[in-house]
Amino acid sequence: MAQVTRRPSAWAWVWLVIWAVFSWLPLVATLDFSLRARKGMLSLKAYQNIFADPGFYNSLAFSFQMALLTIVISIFLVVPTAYWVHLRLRRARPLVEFVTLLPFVVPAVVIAFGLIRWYCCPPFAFVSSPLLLVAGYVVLSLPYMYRAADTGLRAIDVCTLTEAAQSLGASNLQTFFLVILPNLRASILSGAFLTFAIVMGEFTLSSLLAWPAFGPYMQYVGVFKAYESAALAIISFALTWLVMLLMLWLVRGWAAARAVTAPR
Amino acid sequence: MSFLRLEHVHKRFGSTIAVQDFNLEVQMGEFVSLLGPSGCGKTTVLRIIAGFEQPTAGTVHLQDQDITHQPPNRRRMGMVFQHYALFPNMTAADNIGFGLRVTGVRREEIRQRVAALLNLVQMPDLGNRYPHQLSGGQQQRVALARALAIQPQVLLLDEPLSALDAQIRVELRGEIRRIQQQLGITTIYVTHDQEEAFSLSDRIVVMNHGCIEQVGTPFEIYNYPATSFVARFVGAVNQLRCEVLDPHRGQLRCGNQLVTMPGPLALQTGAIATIMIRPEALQLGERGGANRLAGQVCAITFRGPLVRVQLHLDNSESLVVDTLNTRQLQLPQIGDQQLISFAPESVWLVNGGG
Ligand SMILES: Nc1ncnc2c1ncn2[C@@H]1O[C@H](COP(=O)(O)OP(=O)(O)O)[C@@H](O)[C@H]1O
Ligand SMILES: [Mg+2]
Repeated sequence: MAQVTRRPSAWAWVWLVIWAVFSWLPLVATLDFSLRARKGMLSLKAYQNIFADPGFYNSLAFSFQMALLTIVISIFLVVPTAYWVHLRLRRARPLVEFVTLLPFVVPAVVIAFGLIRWYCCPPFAFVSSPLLLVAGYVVLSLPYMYRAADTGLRAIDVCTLTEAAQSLGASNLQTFFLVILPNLRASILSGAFLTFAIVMGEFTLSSLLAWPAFGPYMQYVGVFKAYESAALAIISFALTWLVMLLMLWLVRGWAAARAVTAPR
Repeated sequence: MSFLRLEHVHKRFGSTIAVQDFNLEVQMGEFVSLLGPSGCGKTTVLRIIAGFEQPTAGTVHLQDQDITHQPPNRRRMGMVFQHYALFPNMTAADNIGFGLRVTGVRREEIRQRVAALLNLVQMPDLGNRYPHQLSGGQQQRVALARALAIQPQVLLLDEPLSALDAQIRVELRGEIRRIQQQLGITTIYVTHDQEEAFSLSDRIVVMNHGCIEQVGTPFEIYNYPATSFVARFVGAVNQLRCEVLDPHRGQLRCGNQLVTMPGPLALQTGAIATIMIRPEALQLGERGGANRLAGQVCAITFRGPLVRVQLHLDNSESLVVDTLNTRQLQLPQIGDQQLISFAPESVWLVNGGG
């Protein structure tokens, strides 16, 4: 593509400023507020309070574990399903897409009460198991995970690659793990990241099922401690960015590993 | 005994009949092409042989073993696809070694066989490249090597050259034939390009609307087409409507002019028949052959080694003559009256009767 270098027009600057104000101002304001826990001066007191609270670490660790579990389970459920739909059930694709969008339509509260009612009593008494929470999270992450896998599958010729692998003697499992999955790494990673972000901030399910997750903790801090709550928002924002960078770095690492072996 | 045998194979997709009563026997080491227009069922036949489709009826035998319901990953049939279908996450070498890897061949042996195959397809130094770092022709070479790596019983190719440039196409065509003969591998090749089929095949299967029109050597297909479809599909052909004058001596009348062909004909005197003659069997002027036709020149087209002259006969039928393009060639002018001559043996009747 030909690169046209010219001065950005005045309008471009205006939009840029509006965008910056819109997306950064609340953050800057929050940051500023979080530093004013002591009257009349800037301090890190709110942050110290947060970091001194064992509830912070516990809820963070709990949600982190739940997020990892959710990601693993949802990859194992969604990716093979999406592959199968691409390969054998092309006509069912709109239906499957509709089903995966249901979590957007059904409010989390409804899902939570559904889970509680169904799994409260024998023979399905799972309410006290964290797996029920994970199951709920898997449902919530469905649209993101499925979309991500679907995008990745659309980018390759699933049917022909599968047939090529089969004609070379590969079993279904070998085809999936050696040919299909490696080509979906980047998209699965993006789905995993979205899932991670959702689980870390999720409030309704975890609070209704009474788990000490990060979402309810943030809510609790927000109700009782104004400065700390602002600090917590900044911390979780930073954490999110950190995880995102980590994932970018992972993808880059794979790409680099490829490039190293490529030219002799 | 035939190596690969298809018997009464039918395939329908819903209401579409893709393949109809397909019967074919392929000998070991033979190169057979499936030739026909797009949508005639060539790919479907190939996919049935590979095991990707189940025939609605009929059987497939390999070495007298019924493999109709054997899954594709147990058939040991190497397949080459139109758009290469290389695994994008693997290098050329890993692509080629894939079939060995999944069947548990030792690493060292894989490495050696892959190196030998890279040599065979003349890409000894490109094993470490990823598919996106290779040209189309190179990708197809890798795909060929990958299919050959498993030492397949049958090599199946589905229009492997149709996505490539004309020059690469001709080059790779030669390579495919060389490798096939070197390895003596039984090969089924799908194409819609008659030139490709002619230059590669031991035998050609011409298909139309899911049916076999004719099976034969390239020579038979071109010179003795069994149907008018085959005649038209594998080259240019003149068709003339004639009235039978004498079926025993093979005499017909085309407009007011007499045409002789080898008799006897299975037709009544006075019957209307359509005869066919290839343009290169016709000669400008009064040359060899007993037949003469006169017409008016209406177009002259240069086609490199050949010049095509088009004439109108007196009964408003038209005829094209291909003549070798040489420096000494004396061409008529448009509008000239021109005499052409041809041998009775070069004339045949459409569908053996009409
Ligand atoms: N999976 C399929 N579903 C429905 N119809 C198909 C399918 N595959 C092929 N067909 C139909 O079968 C006919 C033959 O197709 P194909 O074997 O691909 O022809 P060719 O390879 O000679 O172009 C076509 O009419 C095509 O539309
Ligand atoms: Mg085809």
